[in-house]
Parts: sequence; C-alpha cells; structure tokens
Amino acid sequence: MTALPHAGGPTLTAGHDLHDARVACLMVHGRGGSAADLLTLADDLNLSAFAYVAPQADGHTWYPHSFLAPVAQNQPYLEGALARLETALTELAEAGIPAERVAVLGFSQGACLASEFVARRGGRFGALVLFSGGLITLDHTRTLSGTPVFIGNSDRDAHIPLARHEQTVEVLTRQGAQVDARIYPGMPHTIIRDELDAARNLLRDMTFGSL
Amino acid sequence: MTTTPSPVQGLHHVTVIASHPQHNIDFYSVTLGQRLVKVTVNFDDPGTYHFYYGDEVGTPGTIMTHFPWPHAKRGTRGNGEVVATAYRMPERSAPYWQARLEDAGFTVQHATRFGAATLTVEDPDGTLVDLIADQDVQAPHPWPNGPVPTEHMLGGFHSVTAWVDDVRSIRALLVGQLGFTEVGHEPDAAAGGTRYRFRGAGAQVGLYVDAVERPGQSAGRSGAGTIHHVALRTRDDAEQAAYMAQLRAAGYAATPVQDRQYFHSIYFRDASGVLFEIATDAPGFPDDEPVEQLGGTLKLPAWFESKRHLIERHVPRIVNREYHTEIGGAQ
Repeated sequence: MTALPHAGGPTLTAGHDLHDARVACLMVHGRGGSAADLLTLADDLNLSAFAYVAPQADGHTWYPHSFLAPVAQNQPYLEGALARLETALTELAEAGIPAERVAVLGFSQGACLASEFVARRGGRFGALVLFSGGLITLDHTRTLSGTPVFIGNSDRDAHIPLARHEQTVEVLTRQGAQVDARIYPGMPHTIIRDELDAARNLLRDMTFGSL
Repeated sequence: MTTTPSPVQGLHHVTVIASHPQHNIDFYSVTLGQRLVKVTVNFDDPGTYHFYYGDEVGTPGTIMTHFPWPHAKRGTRGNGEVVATAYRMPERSAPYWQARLEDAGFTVQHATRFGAATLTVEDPDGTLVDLIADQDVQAPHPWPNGPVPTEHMLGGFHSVTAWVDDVRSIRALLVGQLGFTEVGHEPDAAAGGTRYRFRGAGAQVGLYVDAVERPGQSAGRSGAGTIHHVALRTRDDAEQAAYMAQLRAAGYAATPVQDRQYFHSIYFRDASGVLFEIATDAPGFPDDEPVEQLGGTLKLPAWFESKRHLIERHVPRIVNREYHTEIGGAQ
C-alpha cells in the first residue's frame, strides 16, 4: 500500500494560533501556485480571529488535467488531493475547530478542488469561498445545511466555462447551500477586490456564529 | 490624480496580543498608570475583548491596545515584527519608575538609547515595554485620577522598535512613502544589531519608529506577548485615502478602509514583515461615552448591539480598577 499523492506535503499556517482559535480558513492553492502565495491573502482579509491553514500540493498541482477531463484521467491525484483536505479538516477538528467553523477557500484549481471536497462531503461548513473555479463532478446529493458559499467567475475564463459556473451554482443550491454567485465581465484569471470583500464578510460572519 | 498627503505625524496606536485580561488591565492601568479608555470587543472576533489604554481621552500617540485571548500561547520575538513600545518618562522619574516596577514584581533592565536613559521591562505576557527619559513629557491630556503622581506620569509614546533583517524596506516605506525623516543610527547590544531611528512630522508625542537591523536572525512567531501591528497617524479620511492610493501605486497591498468605530484604518505589510496601519484621529474615544465615564462599561458598535447578550456571556469577567466595575462574564 503506497501513500496517496499529496499525503506527505507540507502545510503552512498563518494568523491566529490553531490551538487558541475558534475559527479557521483552509486555503487551497491553484495549479502552479503555492500555499505560501495563497497565505498572503490572510493579510488582505486582516481577520485576527482566524487561523489560516494552507496545504501544499506535490509539484504545485493537485491533478494533472483540466477539472473537466474524465475523472479517471486525474486519478490517483484527485483522490489524494481530496484525502489531503480531509486530513486537514480532521486536524482542525482535533484542534477544537469543527467543520461548521471552517471556511474552505480556493483559487482556480484550488477552488475546483475545494468545491468538490465540500459537495462530496456534505454537512455544514463555516463557508465555502470559490475564486475562479467550479465543481469537478455534478452528481452530489448530500445536504450542505445552509453552508454560505461565495463563487466568483469571469464571463470569459479560458479555464472555467461559464456553463460550469452556472451548473456549480445550481448543484450547490440544490444541496441546500446559500450561494452568492457573481460573474465579473472580462475579469482575468485572478482574485479581485469585490471577491475579497465578499469573502471577508462571509468569514467575519463566522466569528459571530462561533459565539 | 490624487493629491500628495501631508507627512505622517507619527504613532497612532500599537496593538498587542495578550493572554490573561485582568493581568493586562492591572499592569497597564495600575502599574503604568494608563487609563483604560475603552472596553470593547475585537471587531473581527467579537468573542474576545479589545482594550484601549491611553491618556485621559486616549489621544493618538498614547494609545496602547490589546487583544487578550485568555489561553493564548506565548509567541516569540524575532525579525519581521515590532517587538517593543516605548513610553516617554520624565527625566527625573527614573528612580521612581524603577522602584514602582520592581515593587510590582518586574525586573528592570537599563540601557542608554540615543543618549537617553531607558528602562525596560517585560509586561505580564512578555511584551517589551521601554520607558525613555525625555524632556517636556506631559501627555496631551493627563489623567487626573490616575494612580501615578502627576510629576511622574508617563507622557504617551516615545517610539516603537521593529526588528528587521534589512533596514532598507522599512526606510523606503517610512521616508520614501510616509514623510518620516531618518535621524540617526547606533549599535544596539541588547537587540544584537544596529538601531536606526525615523521621526514622524508631528510634535512631542509618538514621534519615532526605530528599526534594529539584525541580519540573518530568526523571524518572530505570533502569539501572546507579540505585537500585532503598529498604527501610524493621519489627520482625516481624505489623507488616508490619498495614502491608500499612493501606497497601492507603489506596490503595497493596502486593505480597503475598515471602520474601527473610534478611527478608520487601512493595513499593509512592509517587505520586512512588519504589519502597519494608517489610522485617522477622528472620531476618537469620547464618541460613544463621555470622558468621565470612558472604559466603565462594555461598548459595542451598532452592528454588534443585537448580539450583546451573547457577547457579554462569552467574554470573561474583568474589573476596571478606575471605577471598580465588573464587565463581562454574564450568567
């Protein structure tokens, strides 16, 4: 039995110490990105209550092909990536931060992975924040119990077809998430201010929920 | 095209992570004689207090603020953060302060910094607090009911000290962007490097940012006793907006303006790792309670009022020693 891909990669942290924090943000970087890059968002969010946790993918990519390719082509990397997030969530729970106080946030490939992880798993998360990404598969049935979701995509992103944005909104809504979906005309494949402000508001609301 | 803002005056406040809330109150408001001018919650984390200490009204340049997380683990001092805050102490008061601090159980270290006698203690969470002998140290609004005799009262901030790998980025920020003047440098044995001093454009209180260059020394780790950020002082929202535009144009990832109820804030990080804020003077602490009642009760911004009962149950019981009132820990 060999370990799954991504099982042994580093996990970077920032912000509030994990063992004192009541709320956490699990940050999932994109293809070619790094945990350290995405962690710089912690500064921008500037929310001192949060512990930020960012796992690093082996070789800077969670799976080799597009998220729209047949799932089998991305195995065993996709399976390993999902398992890595599950491990991170378990570690947060062990530190006293249950899923309903965890925001899962991803950019690009990391947003695809984050949405797939949450949709497959089901249950109430603190928040799901998707910057330029969408679900990898669409046949999810578990309830998300009102999990607040932000999803922002461009209307012309070479990586994320607009149709997939719409399908993602539809599926997550059907699963019982509260979805704030925004399409940004002409936005390049990046994270913009309006998206960060929306994410900040979702995360800030979580700190009330933890009282 | 935005106008160039006028130079930053100096320090507005310093925000520190603490642990035990009452120990924090007792050190700053009793031992150091700083008035607890506001008891509120961390707006990003309403389950924890945010304490503000200062002169009688909490004048910018005198404001020390803490987030007391009761079980917070100690952080470590290191490069990439502000590690110490210095108060102005009357020159003749050094023996008084040494005795007062030692009587309260603190160990006092002595040094001379740019020719001025300096006393240093660690607060109950290990944060460095310096008292620097200075002339004409009266605070803008001295606290008449404070526990320290008038002739020995501390007069607000003198400076903060940041530890950095390389002084160039902080110099580029302070001098190049914010209108500070570099006033000198000298070796600093205690910090193990060269101390550079930068002066803001204001007068008297909270004028200096010192940076000690400690090449290759290890970085700090956030936790109790570490300084979260230092806020610099700007006059009003228009100036702040001009700074935000200027800093973003220069490549600093400045946050949007955040309403902190008693001032407005933008945040940005220098390449050295130090987190800075630019805060406005207005509206100030007497905005939601009169001067003679500052700090006596838990104040919440309007958007938290509906959660007051939850918040009051969640935050631990504390005593404000000025009024002997209990706050928090509601049953």
